Amino acid sequence: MTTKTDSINAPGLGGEVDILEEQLLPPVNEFRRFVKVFFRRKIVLIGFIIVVLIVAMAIFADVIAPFGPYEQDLHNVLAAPDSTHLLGTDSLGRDLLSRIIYGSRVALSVGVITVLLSAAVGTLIGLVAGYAEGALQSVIMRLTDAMMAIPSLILSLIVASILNRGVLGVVIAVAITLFPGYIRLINGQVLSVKQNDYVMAGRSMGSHKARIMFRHILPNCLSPLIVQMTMMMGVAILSEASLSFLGLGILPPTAAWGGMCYDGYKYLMMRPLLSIAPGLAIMVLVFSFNMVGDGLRDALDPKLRGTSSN
Amino acid sequence: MLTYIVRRLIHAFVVIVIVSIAVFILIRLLPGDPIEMLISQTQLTETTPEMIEALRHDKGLDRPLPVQYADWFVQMIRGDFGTSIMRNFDIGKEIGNRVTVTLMIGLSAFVIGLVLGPILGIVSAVRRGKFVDNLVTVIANIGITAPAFWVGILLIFFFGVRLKLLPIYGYTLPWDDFWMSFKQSLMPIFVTALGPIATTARQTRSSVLEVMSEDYIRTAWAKGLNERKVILRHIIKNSLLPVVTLQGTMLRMVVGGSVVVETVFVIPGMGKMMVDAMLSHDYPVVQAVTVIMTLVVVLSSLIVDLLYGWLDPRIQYD
Amino acid sequence: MERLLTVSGLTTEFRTERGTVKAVNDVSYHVDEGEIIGLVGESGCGKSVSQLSVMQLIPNPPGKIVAGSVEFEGQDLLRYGRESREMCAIRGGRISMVFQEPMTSLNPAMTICRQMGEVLTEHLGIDKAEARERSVDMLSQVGIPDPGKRADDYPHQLSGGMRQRVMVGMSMLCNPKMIIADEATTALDATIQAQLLELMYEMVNKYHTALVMVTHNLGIVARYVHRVNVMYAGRIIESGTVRELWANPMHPYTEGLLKCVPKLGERLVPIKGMPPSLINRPPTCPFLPRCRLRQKSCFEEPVPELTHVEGDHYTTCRVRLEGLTDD
Repeated sequence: MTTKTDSINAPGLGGEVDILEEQLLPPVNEFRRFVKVFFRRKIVLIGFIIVVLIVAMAIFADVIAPFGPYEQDLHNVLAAPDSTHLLGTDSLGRDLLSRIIYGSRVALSVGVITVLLSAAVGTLIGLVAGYAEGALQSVIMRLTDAMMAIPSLILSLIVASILNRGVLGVVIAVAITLFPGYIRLINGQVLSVKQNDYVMAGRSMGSHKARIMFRHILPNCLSPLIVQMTMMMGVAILSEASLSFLGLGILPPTAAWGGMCYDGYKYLMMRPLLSIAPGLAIMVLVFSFNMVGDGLRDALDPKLRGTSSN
Repeated sequence: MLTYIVRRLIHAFVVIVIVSIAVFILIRLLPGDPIEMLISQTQLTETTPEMIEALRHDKGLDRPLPVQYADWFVQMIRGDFGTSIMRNFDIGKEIGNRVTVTLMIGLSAFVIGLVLGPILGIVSAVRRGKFVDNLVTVIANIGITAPAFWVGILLIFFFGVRLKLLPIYGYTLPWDDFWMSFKQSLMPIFVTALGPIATTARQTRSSVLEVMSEDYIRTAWAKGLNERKVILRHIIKNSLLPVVTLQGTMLRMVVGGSVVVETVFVIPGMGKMMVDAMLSHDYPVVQAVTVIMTLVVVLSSLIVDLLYGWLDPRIQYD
Repeated sequence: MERLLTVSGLTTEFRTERGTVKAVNDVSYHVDEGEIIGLVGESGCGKSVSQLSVMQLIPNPPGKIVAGSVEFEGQDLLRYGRESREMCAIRGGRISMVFQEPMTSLNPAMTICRQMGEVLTEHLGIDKAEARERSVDMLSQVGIPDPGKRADDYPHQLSGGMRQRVMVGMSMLCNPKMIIADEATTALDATIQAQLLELMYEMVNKYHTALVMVTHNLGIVARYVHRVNVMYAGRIIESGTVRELWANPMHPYTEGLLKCVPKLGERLVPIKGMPPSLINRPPTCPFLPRCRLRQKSCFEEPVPELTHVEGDHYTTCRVRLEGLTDD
C-alpha cells in the first residue's frame, strides 16, 4: 500500500488538496469510523431506524396487528376509519391496517430472497466471466447485454406468468432481471482487481486460479457488492409491487402491498385510503432501504464517495 | 466511424436474435394451452379432437419448435407479426395502431426527462446545500422510490376525483381532439417521466459535483473565467457524459413503465396490449410486443453510444 | 527592484471530519518584479495551499482563508470576493498558475487551441481568429512541433510533457506579472523535467515575469531561484538567498533537507520521524518532535517570528537565534 492520502474534495473553486493522512489524523478504529460515517447524515439514520422498525413489524405481525390478515367482517365492508379499524376495512371487511402490517412480510421476504438469489448467481457468473477471459467471457457478457436490453418489468412479467404465482415465482421473476447487473459489477471489479500487484504476485507464485479468485478477488468485490445489494432491495420490492399490482405477482388473498393497491383502486372514489395507504408503505420502505444503501456506500466504498447524491 | 456503426448494428442484431429466441422459448413454457383457451373463450360447444387438431394446424402450432421460430422470425423481418390466437386480429396492424399511443406518451415523457433531469441536476449541484438543492433531492427521492402506479392513483384521486380537472382514464390521439388528448396525456406523461427525471437529475447532480472537483476545473478558474463560463463551458459538457450513457436505461424504464401506466390510466397502448395478452396467454402478441419493445431499446442505446462518442473525443472508433 | 507581491500573516484552514486543519499558518513572504523564488517543503506542508490561497482557488467549503493579506501591485486581493470581477481579471491575466498534474489539468473535451484561446478572449477581448493565431504562436514558442496541427488536438492526444508545455504556454499568453508553478514538473520524467524547467526559466526571463516555484526538490531551487522560503507544517520556518541557505542553514529542518539532496560522494541522511498533525497544533515550534537541537525551553516558548539573521536570511529556530547551542 502506498501512502494514504485524505483528499479534501469540494466543488466551487475546483481542485483537490492532498494532505497526508498520517500527518493529519491519528489512527482510527476502522469499525468506529464506519459507524461514524454511516450515521453522519440524519436521513440515513432515519432510514435505518425505519428499516429496523418495519423488520420488527414483519416479525411480530401476529402480536402487533389488531386483526388477522384474512379476518373478514362482512357486516362492516368498506368501513371508514374508526377506533376499531384505524384505517378502515376493504371490500371484504378486512382490516386495512392489519393487512398492511402483514404485507410487510411479503415485501421484505421477496426483497431479501430476491437480492440474495440474484447476488449469488450474478456474482458466481461474474467471477467466472471475469476470470475466464477470452471467448467465454465475451459470450457471457453478450448474453448479459441481451438480458439487460429487455425492459426489466416486461421480462419479469413473462417469467412470472410462466411460473406459479406465489412468493417463489415472483422471486425468480424479479431475480432474473437483477442478476445481470451483478455480472457486470463483478466482472468489472475482477478486471480491475486482477491488475493489482498482489494478484499478479499470487499468480507468479503459481497459486491456483480458483484460489486466487476466492482468496483475493472476491473479498475485494465485497464492498461494492454489499452496496449494490442494499440498493437492489428497493428495486426488488418495487418490482414485486408492480407485478402484484398487475395481477401477475402475489395473488390475493395474501396481503401484498401492490395487490392491495390494485384492489383498493376500484374503490378510489369512496375509500381512497385503500389504495393510497399500501402504496405509501411501499414508498417508505423503498426510500429507507435506499438511504441505508447511500450510507453504506459512503462508509464502505471511498471510491464511490463522490458519486453519492446527497 | 463507419465500421464502428456497422459493428454496433451487427451487435444490436445479435441482441435482438438472442432476445427473440429467449422470448420464444419462454413463451412456450407458459402454462395453459392456447387452443384450449381459445375454444373455451369462443364457447364452441361441440368440439371434436379433429377440430382441435385442425385449429392447431391452422395456427401453425403443430410444427417443430425450431421451424416455428424460424418461420416466425423471418415473417417478422418482413413485417408480418402473425395473428392473435385469441382474437384473430393482425398483430402487426394492431401494434401499428397502439405503438403511436405508447410513443406519444413515452417519447414526451422521455424528452421531458432528458431536458428537465439535467437542468434540475445542474441547478441542484451548483446551489449545493441551498433550498433548490434540497427540493430537487426530495423530488428525486420520491421519483425513485414511489411506485409508478401509486403516483398515478394519487394524481387521479386529486386531479380527477377531487378537483375534477382532468379526465381519469382513456386516451385520444391529438389529431382527433387536441384539447382532450392534452388533458388525458398530462397525468400519464408525468407519471412516466417521473422516474427518468429523478434518476437523471440525481446522476447529473453527482456527476457535476465530481467534475467540479476535477483539476481542469481548477485550471478554468485559474484562467480567470467567471462562474457562469466555468459552468457553461467546462462543467456541463463533461458532466453530461455519464448522463448520456444513462439514457438507454431511461428508455427501458419508459418502455417498461408503459405497462403499468397504461394499466392505471386504461390507455390502449402497447403496454396494455402486453398485459392483456399475458393474462389471456396470447403467445404471438406477447412475443411480438416484447421483440418490438426490445428493438426500440436496442436501437436507442445504439444512438446513445454514438452520441457519447460524439461528445467525448477520447472515445476512438477502431 | 519593484515590490510585486507582499503576503502577510496568511492563514488558511480546512474543516475536516476530525477537526480544523491549519494548512497555512501565519505565512508572510514577498516577491519582487521579475524575481524567481522557491517555496520548498515536504508534501502536505501547506506550500500548494498557500499558493492557491493567493489565487483564491481554495475550495470553500471546506477551506477558508481566515487571516492575512495578499497585496499585489498595491491592491489587497483578499478584499475582493473569490468570484468577483476583480479577482477574475487578476487570475489568468496578471497572475497565472501552472499545476502539478499535466494529465488532468486540461479539459478532456476541448481542443488545445480553444482552451488557450479562452484565456485571451477573456482578458484581452480579442476575437477567436486572432486568439487562435496567438495560441499557435505560443505553442511554437514553448517548443511544440507542428503547432498549427497540434492546436486542434485534444489533450489525450498529447504526452504528459507536451501537455505541461501547453500549460506553461497558456500561463504566458496574457503576459502576466507573476507565474506560480505548483510542482509543475514533479510528475514528469527527469529529462523532460529538465527541459521544461529550462523552458520556463527562458520564458520568464524573456518577458521579465516573476516566478514562484513550489517544489520539494531542492536541486531545482539551487539552479534557478534567487531566494528560497522553506515551509514546514504550514509555516515558513526559514528564508534566504540560495547562497545563504546553502552555506549556512540555520534551521535544523533546512539542514536536514539539504542533506537529502544527492551529492557525489556523500551519504544521504533522512530526516527522522513524520511531520506533525496539523490539527490543534500547540504554538511551540512544529519541528520540535523531530529536532535534534531542541532545548527544554523550546517546549515552553512559542515559536519565534521569522527573525533576521544577516542579508536576506531569516529563520525561526530559537536555539540558533539565541545561541543556546554551539553546534
